[in-house]
Amino acid sequence: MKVVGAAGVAAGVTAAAWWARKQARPRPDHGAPLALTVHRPYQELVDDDGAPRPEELRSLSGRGRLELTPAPGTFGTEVRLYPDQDCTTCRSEDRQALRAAKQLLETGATMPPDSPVTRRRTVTSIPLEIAIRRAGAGGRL
Amino acid sequence: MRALQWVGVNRLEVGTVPDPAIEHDQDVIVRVGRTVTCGSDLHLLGGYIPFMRSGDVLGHEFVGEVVETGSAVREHSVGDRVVVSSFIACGRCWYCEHELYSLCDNGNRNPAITEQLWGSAPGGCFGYSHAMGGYAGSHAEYVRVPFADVGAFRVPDDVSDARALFASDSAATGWMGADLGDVGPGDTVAIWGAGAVGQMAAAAAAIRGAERVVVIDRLDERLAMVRAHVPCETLHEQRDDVGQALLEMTAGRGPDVCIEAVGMEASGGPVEDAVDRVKQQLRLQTDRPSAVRRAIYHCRKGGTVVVLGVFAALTDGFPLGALMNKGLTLRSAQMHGQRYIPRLLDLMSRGELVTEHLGTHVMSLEDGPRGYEMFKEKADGCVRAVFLPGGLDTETAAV
Repeated sequence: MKVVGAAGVAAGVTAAAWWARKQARPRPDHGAPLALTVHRPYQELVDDDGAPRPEELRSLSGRGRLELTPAPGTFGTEVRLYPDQDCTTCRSEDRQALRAAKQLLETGATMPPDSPVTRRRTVTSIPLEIAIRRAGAGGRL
Repeated sequence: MRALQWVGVNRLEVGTVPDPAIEHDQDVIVRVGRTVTCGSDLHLLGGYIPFMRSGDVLGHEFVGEVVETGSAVREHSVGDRVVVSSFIACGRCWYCEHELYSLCDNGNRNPAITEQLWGSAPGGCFGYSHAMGGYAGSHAEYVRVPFADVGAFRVPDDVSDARALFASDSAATGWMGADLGDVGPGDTVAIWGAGAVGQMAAAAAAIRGAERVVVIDRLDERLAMVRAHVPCETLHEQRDDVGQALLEMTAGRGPDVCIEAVGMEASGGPVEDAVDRVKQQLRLQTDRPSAVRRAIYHCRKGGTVVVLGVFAALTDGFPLGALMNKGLTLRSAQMHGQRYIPRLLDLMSRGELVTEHLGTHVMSLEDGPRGYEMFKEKADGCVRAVFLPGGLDTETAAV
């Protein structure tokens, strides 16, 4: 029994060490911008100095360096945010802020992730709950 | 209000949920007059699309009356009778401006789920899981309609609710099948599946002037129904030699356009079916694509295959070799309803498109679980079960 207990502790310590090392490593997307395309003309979104014109974009500047370029064809404007802070949580918040800015610029409204009433929470529903909680801030953006 | 809720795999209940409210100034609230089951709901019901939470309200195909409008709504007023596209689209993103409404950038509130699953997020859909935005569905007394100026359409006075209802999704999906296949005069069109979408695809192909339309299914009553309402021929999937018949019809060429209207729970022959089901249960694939396989196999060289059925993720045994070597064009999409509904309502108004026969069973919302059971088992010739959240209406009473 003692052997089993010791093995369990050793496994736990190993897992904790692995997790700590993983967290300490630079993120694979370190320094990469968050980018999306806003379906608004470039001229509408930047002033003569090339600075973002609408408040929805100006407010993103506090999160990092913002780069706007005309998108090819009829797509509108490419928006790239190079975040100042590079932690997982900050990046998620930046991602959600960028999505909200696009929604506001294109539709005048934001569509935050849903939060409906769940009648009964079950063990099997936990992964879905987690996925929905991350649904606005996660993703490939 | 009362609503039909998904409470677990193959478990539905009618319960009381909070009334919807205007959340954005572009919303309207619709009192649901009629709302109908859809084959794609069965994928949710059976747990094949695992993004449902206990208590979610189902339903995405509906007609009703506007009872409240947001301050920015311009096209609708209280009292308008409207049919609503099942897909929620903003009308202003690049995709919407190119009439690819089901791909809307702003309609899905939970984009991360489908971005991870499919690479990008499509638009949102009423009552179709949290992967598609987590919107409450229409199997309820009231429903909130976002971007109402884009997704809700006034029903002409001479079109009944029973007819207009199907413009919401199944008629629009069927029409899209013919549109994506670029069906026109001279074409032979083969359609797998004689459910509501398959029947509407057949009607669309006929209206667009196809030379010959043939519908394939294994249910005699559905084949009889489509023959009664659409100028087409039918083949029984099990009794007829479908491949041989299609070759005979086209003098050895094969159909120009093959439309799949079955989806991820298709049934093939006994062996194929057994293998597909085992793979699905073992999570080696999520979808059973036997109708897609047939559509690709039987299509003529250089023809077009259109996939209208709903698929979730991965499928095995996909005949990529046939697709490539025969030079086929494969097209598909969720339904771009906003693009097609105005024309469909016009056709309905002129009597050129009839749909009400698809609602084979009309019942109260309280009977919803029974309606889905009948629909799932295809019992009593059920093609679609229609629910009346407000109780029997004048149209039903007249019948």
